[in-house]
Amino acid sequence: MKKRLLTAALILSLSSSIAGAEQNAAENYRQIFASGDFYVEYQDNYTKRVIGEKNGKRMERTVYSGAGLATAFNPLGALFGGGTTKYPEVMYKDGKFYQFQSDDKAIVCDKADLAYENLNPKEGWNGIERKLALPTELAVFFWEDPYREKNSVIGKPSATWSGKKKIEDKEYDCDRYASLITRASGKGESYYVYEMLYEKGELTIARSYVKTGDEEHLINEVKIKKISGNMPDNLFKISKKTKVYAAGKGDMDDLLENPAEVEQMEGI
Amino acid sequence: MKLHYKVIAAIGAISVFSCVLSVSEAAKIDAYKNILLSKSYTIKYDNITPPRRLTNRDKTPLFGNSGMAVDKNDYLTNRQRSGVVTSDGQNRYEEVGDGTFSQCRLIKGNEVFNFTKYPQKNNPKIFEYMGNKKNKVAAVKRNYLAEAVEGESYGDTDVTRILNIMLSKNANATYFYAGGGALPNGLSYEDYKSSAGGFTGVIRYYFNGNDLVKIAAAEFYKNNSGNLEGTKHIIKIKEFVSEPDQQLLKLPEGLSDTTKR
Repeated sequence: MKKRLLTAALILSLSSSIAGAEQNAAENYRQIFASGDFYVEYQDNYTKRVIGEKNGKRMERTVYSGAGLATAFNPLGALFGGGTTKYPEVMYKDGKFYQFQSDDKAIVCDKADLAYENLNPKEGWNGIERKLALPTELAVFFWEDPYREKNSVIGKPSATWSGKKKIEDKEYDCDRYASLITRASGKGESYYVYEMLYEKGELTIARSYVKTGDEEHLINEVKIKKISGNMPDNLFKISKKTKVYAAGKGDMDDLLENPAEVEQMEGI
Repeated sequence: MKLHYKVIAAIGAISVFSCVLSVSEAAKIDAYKNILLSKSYTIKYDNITPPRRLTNRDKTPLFGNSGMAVDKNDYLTNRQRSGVVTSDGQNRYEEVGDGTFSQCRLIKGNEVFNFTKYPQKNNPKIFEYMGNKKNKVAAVKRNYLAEAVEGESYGDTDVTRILNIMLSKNANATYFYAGGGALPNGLSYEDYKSSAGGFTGVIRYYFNGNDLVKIAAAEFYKNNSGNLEGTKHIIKIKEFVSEPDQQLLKLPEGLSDTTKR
């Protein structure tokens, strides 16, 4: 316990001594996320994703790699328009979660019903909040994100180091943050380390590591394409007369695979 | 007078002996704790209590499970599971199954090999393996985050959690020594208890002499609806020693490594 307090104190003292060295953009990103009107485009090994929030609506769209062909005219493939569908995969609006199955068909579940034990497990409602979450690495800018996966053993990150970092002959401005992982595996304390790499003042790569003693292992890397305030209205598009069906709740409709149509959407 | 001395000496010896006994009794589990901390061990067990069947209420954490997800395998539901875990500090092998069909995981440095093991149809004495393909396996990346968050894996998810209780530094569930003694069947026991924030956990380690032979654990907590829920586990320890089984710490013969490096 004493050791943990000491390490926590060390993180705090480090953070206060180098807080001034954090990239200016970091505070800007914090304000963007706190405003409730933002969008993020990013890419990891397997997916390209867009997540946006405006007027209390949070939406998400994923393109799995290989799904959208990148060309010289449309270098990012299906993700950013180019005649491809723009409907969100998942949306939260007015206390309800929607999952779009095609551009004119969706299923809906009340937020209060997400823990209902008879929800059809095939519809994947238990993972829906996670789909709307920003990449874990961005928690350093938006710890209060309601969709952030809560893990009681990983604490709030504090800044630990700022400087230059070279990756494959390219030099980045780098900010590092660390969260103490309170449950140790017997090897000593572990930390969840966030590494933000900036190019020309903009965040381009966000990485996360697990650090135990002297060992540090890369957990994840996302390439940030865009973080911006003012989500454009045409970033997501829901076609008029989208039919919305009730989530399967183990009732007769669900049993007969004949879901009830509950509403019709008139675009976003 | 001489007799008097002898009586005093005998009483003294008994009291010293009982003192030593009480200290050593409370420390019996520490020997096993130190084995786990040393990262060099071979543990064989039967988890007698089957896991609860998963429903759609169950959530898989984003960070993954440190233990193997044996509770998601239909063939192991409502059955006793046997486990083998061995480690030499760098490499680790885990196996959980029902005696014939087993899920296996071999961790070598940064690489993890996941495969299953089952007896050949025509010749049940020979095992076949299924990795990415029959008798072929490619390594995947080791999940360091799950290990840091959940502790080291000891095969079965429940056994992993219960063995990690021994090492737990988690403020939410620290177990304290709650008593111990001898049982009429010749076994002795040590009890540990945790209660914090609506969670109560009790765990009893059974010893035959100094050998750990059984672990019984029960946990109670209130779910989101405020109803009391609980789990119980009985684990029979068949072997718990500090020597790693080197034979198990390499890919078995008949299973080839197809990792592109």
